[in-house]
Amino acid sequence: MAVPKRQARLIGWIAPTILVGLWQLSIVTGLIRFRYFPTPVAVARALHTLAVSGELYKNTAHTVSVTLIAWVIASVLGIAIGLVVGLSVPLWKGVMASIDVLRSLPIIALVPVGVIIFGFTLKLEIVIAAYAAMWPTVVNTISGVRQTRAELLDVGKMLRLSTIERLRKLIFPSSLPLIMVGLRLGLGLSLVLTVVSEIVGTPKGIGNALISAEQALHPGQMFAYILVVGLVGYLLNGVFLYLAHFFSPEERSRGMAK
Amino acid sequence: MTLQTANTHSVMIRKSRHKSNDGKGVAPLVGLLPLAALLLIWQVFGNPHSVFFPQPNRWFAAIDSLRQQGMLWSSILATASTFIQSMIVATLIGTALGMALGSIQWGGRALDPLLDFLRNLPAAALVPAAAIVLGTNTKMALVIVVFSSVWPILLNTRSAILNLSPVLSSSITNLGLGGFRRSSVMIGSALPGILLGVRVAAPLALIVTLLAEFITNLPGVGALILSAQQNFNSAEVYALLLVAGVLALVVNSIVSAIEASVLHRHGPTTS
Repeated sequence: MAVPKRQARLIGWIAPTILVGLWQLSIVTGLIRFRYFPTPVAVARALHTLAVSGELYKNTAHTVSVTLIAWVIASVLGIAIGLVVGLSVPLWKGVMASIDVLRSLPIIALVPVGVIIFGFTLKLEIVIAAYAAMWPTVVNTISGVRQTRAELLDVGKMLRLSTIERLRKLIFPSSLPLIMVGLRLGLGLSLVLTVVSEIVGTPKGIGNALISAEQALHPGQMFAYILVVGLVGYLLNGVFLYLAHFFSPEERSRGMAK
Repeated sequence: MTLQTANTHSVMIRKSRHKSNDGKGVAPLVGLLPLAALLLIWQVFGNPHSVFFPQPNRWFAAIDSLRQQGMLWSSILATASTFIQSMIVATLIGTALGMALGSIQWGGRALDPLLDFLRNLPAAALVPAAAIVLGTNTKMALVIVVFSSVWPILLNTRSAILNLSPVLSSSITNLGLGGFRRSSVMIGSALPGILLGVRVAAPLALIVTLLAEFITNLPGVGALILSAQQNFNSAEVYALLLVAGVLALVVNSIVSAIEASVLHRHGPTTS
């Protein structure tokens, strides 16, 4: 555990390198034999081709922007719903079970409902991704608000703060760590569902490029796109954590815990 | 993580003494009323010929017609079989790897970037790749589902092992326990962590199972949904959404039951 940071970073690089090396070797030596399993070298070449043709940029830009738009919509709606439901005990009792049912519907079964209503459009991508990304924020905001310590609320009463002031100065800051966790989960879900609707039929973005590469029997390009999706997810998560740290350093450790 | 749970607990205890509003808790069933009301309004005032929003009674008719065609139960069985097999494999692999990584003293944490990358790979993107490499068959669905649901189990097991109480670890060393007995003690104390991982992994595994069937048209509930969508049979699409929802509910209650019985048998765990 007590490994110096620089050494840890070194090991962090070594493991994937070894993995990629083994992958290349086992195919070259014929240890694994699948007809359409590309070598890392083939994937790198495909990645280069896609990057030069501009296709990679176009598809990635589409997927990333849809992901972010859907996530922003989901976050605003999620925090608003969460605050309203979390603040009122009677309202919570009256609707929480419905929220639990709606959020535990397997989201993939909702995609076809979206397809029936919207067709394979940009709207479909945004609505589906936003719907999926909204629930973690809703649920976490509700529990964050409801877990505000009673002592803190007493302080608010004692100081005779108005409802808005209590919300802004006490309740919101104390539930922020949980809200951040919800937002982060939502960001990941937004990317996944954007890619799903592209795979299922929206004729744009990384998901669509993956399916086209599959149909054209270009395993190299497919794996290149998978690598790109993985990197996009990794980077979005990283940027989110960085910004969260930037805005509230003391929340970072707590926001990262889950 | 342990520290945080302990904190939340103490906060909750203090609060329940102060006021019976404990932040979490089970939502009362009264809360289902808005959903029920919505469905009722939909049924009564909905357009009987709507393509986009078929009335709820048409959903049940669609389920019944699937049942009569003999498609319903065979599909549910196929989905359940893939799901259960993958959960078993994922739990075994996740526990084993999690324990191994948790026991590595020289910076098991240093593998974090790689693990982070792998577990954040969207399963949806992997399905077409697995289909092209392994062919479209049940084995490929298993591989994908295991790959995407193993991470919560692995990571929770690892953190349970990393957070073993120092007293326990030194007792293991002092008693000179080795091999099998050592690992059985460790599994016992990591059990709450493993179960937490399973709880997170189960709904994920169900979704990925449906997704794999949906994308590759392998027999199962996912394939039914796909064909309903392709035929623009909207009542059937909603019906299968309902079926999928019930499946998720069943999975959830089974996991809770397992969790309750295992933790009960092992006595109160102080994490």
